[in-house]
Amino acid sequence: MDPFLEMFSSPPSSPSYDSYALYHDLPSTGEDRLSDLPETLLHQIFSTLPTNQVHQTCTLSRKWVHFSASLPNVYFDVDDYEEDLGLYDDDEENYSRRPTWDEDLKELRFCCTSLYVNKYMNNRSLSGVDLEGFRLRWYARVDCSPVKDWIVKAVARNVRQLDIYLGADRGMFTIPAVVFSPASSVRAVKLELRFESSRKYCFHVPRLMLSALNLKILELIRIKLPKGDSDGELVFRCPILETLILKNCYCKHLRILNLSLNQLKKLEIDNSGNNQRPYDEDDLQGPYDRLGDCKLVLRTPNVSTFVYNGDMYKDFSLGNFVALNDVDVTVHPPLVIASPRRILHLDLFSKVKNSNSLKLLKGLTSAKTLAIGELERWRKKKEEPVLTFRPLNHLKYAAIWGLEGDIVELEFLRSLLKNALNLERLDVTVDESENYKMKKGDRLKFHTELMELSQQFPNVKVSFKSYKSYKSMFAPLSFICFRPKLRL
Amino acid sequence: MSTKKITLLSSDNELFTVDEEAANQSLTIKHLIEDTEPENGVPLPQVHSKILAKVTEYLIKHANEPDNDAAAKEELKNWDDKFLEKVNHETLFDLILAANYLDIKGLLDLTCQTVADLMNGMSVVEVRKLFNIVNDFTPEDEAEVRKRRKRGTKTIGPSNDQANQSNH
Repeated sequence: MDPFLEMFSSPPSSPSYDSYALYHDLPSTGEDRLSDLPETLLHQIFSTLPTNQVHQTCTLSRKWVHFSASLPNVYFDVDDYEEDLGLYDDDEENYSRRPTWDEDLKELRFCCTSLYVNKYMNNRSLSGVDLEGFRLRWYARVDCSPVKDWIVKAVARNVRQLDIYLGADRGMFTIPAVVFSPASSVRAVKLELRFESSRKYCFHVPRLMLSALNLKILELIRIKLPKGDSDGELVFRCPILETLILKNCYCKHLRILNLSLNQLKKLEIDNSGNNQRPYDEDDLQGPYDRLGDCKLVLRTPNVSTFVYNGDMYKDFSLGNFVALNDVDVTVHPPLVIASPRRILHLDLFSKVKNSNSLKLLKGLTSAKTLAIGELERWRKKKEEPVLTFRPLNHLKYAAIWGLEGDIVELEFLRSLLKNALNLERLDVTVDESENYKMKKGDRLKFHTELMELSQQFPNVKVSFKSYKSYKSMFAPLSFICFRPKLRL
Repeated sequence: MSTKKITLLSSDNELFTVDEEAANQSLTIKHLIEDTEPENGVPLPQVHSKILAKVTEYLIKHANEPDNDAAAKEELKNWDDKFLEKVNHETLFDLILAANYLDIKGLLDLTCQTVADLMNGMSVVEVRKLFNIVNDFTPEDEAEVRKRRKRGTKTIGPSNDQANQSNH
């Protein structure tokens, strides 16, 4: 027998195991202190261990058989279960049975984990012990249908937080509608399509989600939004939803995305993942347009934090941002390149009346902080009228970066300074990259004019910086490095 | 700076004196002081002097937690590691129970994490050895529990066969 294995097969009381009592300065009394701990303390101890290790406790002793079924939060990761499912275990027999081929291992792991989670969720639904959170990271070659059953069982056990991350090579998956039913206990939902998933795979959410009564937090990542009504309008009206995060969600099939969320406090929209897969079967090639002609309508009077990143919707309608005091609007350059049609809509200086950005800025009359970036990508013409602001009486801090040193931009800044009477600080950052062809002299001139401008507004502390962005490939990098942080 | 002293009384009637600020990290002690205003020390009949000595050591060290000082935080973390380095399992579990009873979140988190770290990466047999957990399954029961956990492998025989072949 392998000496390593032999070591494990000796009886527990053998003195040769003192080396396992790593933290010793006194002889151990041999009591089983772990098993005697109250359950809440055991939950805390095991909450930081990998899931497979938590679930293997059932073979420790009789007392532990049902321990893993009492955990408030359960987390299954398909990658975690290689060891736990007997691919190799504490007995000799299984060491030799460990498969060595990757594909086999993958398949085996998937089948084992699937059966294991099945078993666990079955026991759990019989046990009568409620769940607090259910987290799953899952992928399969063909379909993820067993996942539906597990989610239904978790909801039946009054789970409050669901976090599902899944994907497959083909097929589709729909979250069971019971998650969003009026009787559901679920308060927070995060759904994410696996990043590496095939373009042919689709992750749907039920329409019931749009009016879920009990939902407070909703985060959707790379999810295809449900179909709209006959006019192509999709309306969110969850009555108590407080946080909504939409990242790279697909809405090309919609005409209007309407967020009518009275209690919403935090809204985050991120459309910056330009090359992530489309859902259209006939649109598998070429650059991916996730937003199509979709318009965004916001009826969210209580939003206090609004973060927008990436590609713009075709049109914005903002209603009243009464409580809005923290705004961060960023247009990510590579995205504009990915769907060139959109550049027209971002054309801040030439199409003032139709500009999405202008509408957005005009809606911000109560903003306290404002950051606008990458203005140089918004094509501007000197003969066009200059963007002007409405009074921004609450604005304390503004950061404008990615300027090219153009006279039109000075007008823009002047308008900002004139209308923001309580502004305390303005950070202006100029992009000096060669591809924007600003000469050194122009930059100095721009700087001088900016300083003259700032002297007219002695209450505002204006700082002037410059940076070099690199070719578009590295644009996101410079974007991260040089983007000013919002501060209140 | 107020330096009001609090006296703590262990189960074997030993007295420990600490600053009020240090003692207040234990919500149980804090509430006991507020509610009963004890004159001859706060009685803690569930905590032995051996353990209370360690607990007060922790409370004194953590009385003024640094907020933003990264170096001080690092130093405190190193101190925490050293604090439990020479502690045997008996004391470690007693500390967990004491931290739970006295409601000292920092100490409870630290001790629970230490136990979790001890187990991390270990097989069932190793965990049994580590914590003297007696395997009270009959051989039949154990085979049954194991079988239940391994049933998955049985459903895909070909993979197992291939794996076996590839090993021989």
